[in-house]
Amino acid sequence: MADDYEKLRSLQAAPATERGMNLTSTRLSTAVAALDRLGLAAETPSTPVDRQLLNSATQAADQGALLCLRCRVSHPMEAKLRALHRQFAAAKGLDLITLASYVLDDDGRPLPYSDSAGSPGGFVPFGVDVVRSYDIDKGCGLAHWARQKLQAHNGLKAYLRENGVLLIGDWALLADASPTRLRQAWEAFGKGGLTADQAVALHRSYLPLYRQAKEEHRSRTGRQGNWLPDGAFFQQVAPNRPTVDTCAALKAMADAVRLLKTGAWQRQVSLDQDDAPELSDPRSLEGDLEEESPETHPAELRASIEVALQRAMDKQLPQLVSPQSNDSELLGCLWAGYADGLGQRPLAERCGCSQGQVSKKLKLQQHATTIATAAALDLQRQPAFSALASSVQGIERLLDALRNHLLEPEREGEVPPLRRWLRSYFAQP
Amino acid sequence: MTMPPPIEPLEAMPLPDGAVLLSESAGISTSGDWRRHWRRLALAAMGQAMAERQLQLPLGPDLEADDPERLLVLNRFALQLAITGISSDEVEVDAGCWQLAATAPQLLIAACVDGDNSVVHFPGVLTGEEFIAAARSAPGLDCTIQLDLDRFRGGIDRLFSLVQLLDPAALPRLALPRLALAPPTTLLQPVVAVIDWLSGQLADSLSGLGGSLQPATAFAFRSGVTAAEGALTVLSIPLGLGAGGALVYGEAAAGCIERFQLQLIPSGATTVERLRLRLIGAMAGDLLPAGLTLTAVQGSHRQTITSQLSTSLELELQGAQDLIEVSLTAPGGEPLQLPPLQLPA
Repeated sequence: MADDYEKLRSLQAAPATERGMNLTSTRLSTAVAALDRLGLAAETPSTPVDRQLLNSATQAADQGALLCLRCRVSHPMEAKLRALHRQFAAAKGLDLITLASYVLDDDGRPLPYSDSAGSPGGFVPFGVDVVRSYDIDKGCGLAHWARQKLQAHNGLKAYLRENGVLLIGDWALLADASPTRLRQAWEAFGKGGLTADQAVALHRSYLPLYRQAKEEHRSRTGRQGNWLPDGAFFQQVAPNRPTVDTCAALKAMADAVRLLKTGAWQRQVSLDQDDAPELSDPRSLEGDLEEESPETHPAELRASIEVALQRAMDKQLPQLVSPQSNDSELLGCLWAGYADGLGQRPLAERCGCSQGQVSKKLKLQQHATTIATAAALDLQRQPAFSALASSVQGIERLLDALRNHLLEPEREGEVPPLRRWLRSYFAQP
Repeated sequence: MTMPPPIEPLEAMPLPDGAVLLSESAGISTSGDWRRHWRRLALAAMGQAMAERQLQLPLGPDLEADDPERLLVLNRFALQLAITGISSDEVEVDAGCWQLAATAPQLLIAACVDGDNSVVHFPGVLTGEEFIAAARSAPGLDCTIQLDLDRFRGGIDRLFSLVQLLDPAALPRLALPRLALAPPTTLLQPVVAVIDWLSGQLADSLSGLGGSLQPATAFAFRSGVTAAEGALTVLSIPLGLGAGGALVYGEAAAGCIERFQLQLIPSGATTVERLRLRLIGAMAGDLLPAGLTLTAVQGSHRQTITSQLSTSLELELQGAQDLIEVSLTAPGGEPLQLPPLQLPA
């Protein structure tokens, strides 16, 4: 079946849909004709077919052959985007149409292979860029190359980063793995002919060359990202092996590491999705205070603490609640909703964002720690608290108690100080 | 029997809680190796995290802060920054500075850097005591110690809280026992080039002792006396006798009843030709405690002098290829050993 070479997966206008766009499949007659002409109509996707089409596109300026390759790369890119969406849509609010808009932007019009020939309107679909930059002698298949190029797309990376997702390419993932983790990953998930010792040895050879290649790339381009290895790189990593084999072995090692790390990453994603309130220490502030300063009356201590917390909130919170930033509207909505007592899910619904964004934007624990630290600094001036400066444990106990007091009610029906402060702030005209 | 469904590998990783997103321009840099580049990103992230929290804590050094071997100083606390990749779960800690208490940091922070996406995550902090406990069971290799990132806790907020709320004396500088027990000849103390002091560069091993540099003219203006003939700069290390007569240095010396200082004064007509060592009381004219012995060894040449109703002790060394080993001993106590010094030949 030559479907992969004649059907283009891309974003197309769909007026009947909510977004007015949809991911669709378009059978391109120019591509079908090119396959017939080259005798490839019945072929399944493979490197020899890719090579033949690439030769025809480059040497015979065959725009139909190029179109076949554009169709070919659209499938693995769509699969990767759908996997990303499936894995992170719920926790991070990723939108499939937005994801696709960065890379599946090919409208299927015939274009020349040579970029110097230009294209109508100057627009170059990402799929064309993928095929133009592909060097079949680099050692990796076209589908793999398409996924690598997608992984390095700056716009897509920025969108994902903004939504709390990091695209980690295989080469960086491999470089971040220690020899111990690599061995563990290979023994659990390794596919291929290498033994664990051979995989570790190949990794040892890969690491310094990767760092060196990235440094050269950075000094050439000024940027760290968008580096991809070529045949010469694989040759250096393992001079006595065919570059294709080295590429495949390193890729298999990266896959194994990715599988090993997937469990931990999934736990993190499910934590993001969890609507449970943030954990707090059930000890009351008073209990902690008596422990720290047994000589001073608890009511006096409590009064000092309330004053210190109030001062710290007055200093810290106004800028947080009304920041001068692009997302000030969203932040205002989130803080107001939090003041009203809303949990993560209703907050996300009210403010039109994902649950992951709620915690990422509000950063309650971080702000509570900053306020607690400022209050503790204030309290240290008083004799009852001055001794804390010499004890890590004492400081951390006080901060825990202050942070929990700020965020959690100590008695049923009570409003914790942070929410109380916000309510009074939003009640002001 | 049904097979468990195959694991679907995650295409990407979730951004860790509290990760700092740097501006795109933060990642633009062509100079230095990857270690320096990552360190610059980590320092930028530290600065951004402070700004987000409306904190203005002094962070140094001003010069060569991106040198991976240098300790940082955050709000008077000596801090080691250990860096690894964003998807890593271990970090390699340079153990060189942990060989001697004088050069050991008070805090160690781990940073996970993603240079491609300009993202930095700080999993947490270890105090010196916590690091030493963690290092006991960790594998070490060539003067580095591999630690699981799970060992670090509290994120960058723990760092900011500790350096604001603790008295620096509450976090002692501690040497790593297995390295401290090694014979002195195996210690890999970096050599300090005295000529660097003229450009204001002070090695961590000396700033760790509380040493500070002052241009000779400023010294003369403030103290009312000339440091030495042809003095180019003055390095002063505050010292004192603590409990049991042990030598203490740095901020801890301020709490001692008997306080004095060791001055190292490079001098010469245009560049460093000799080095004068001078031990004097904290106040001009104070008597030094009896029995303090100042020793300097340069190649086969050894000089030593002991206080006895003295207001100052002085030794002078000439420029030569040989390294200079300086030590100070109080009666019955452990010697305080300075890092090896190098004068221009």
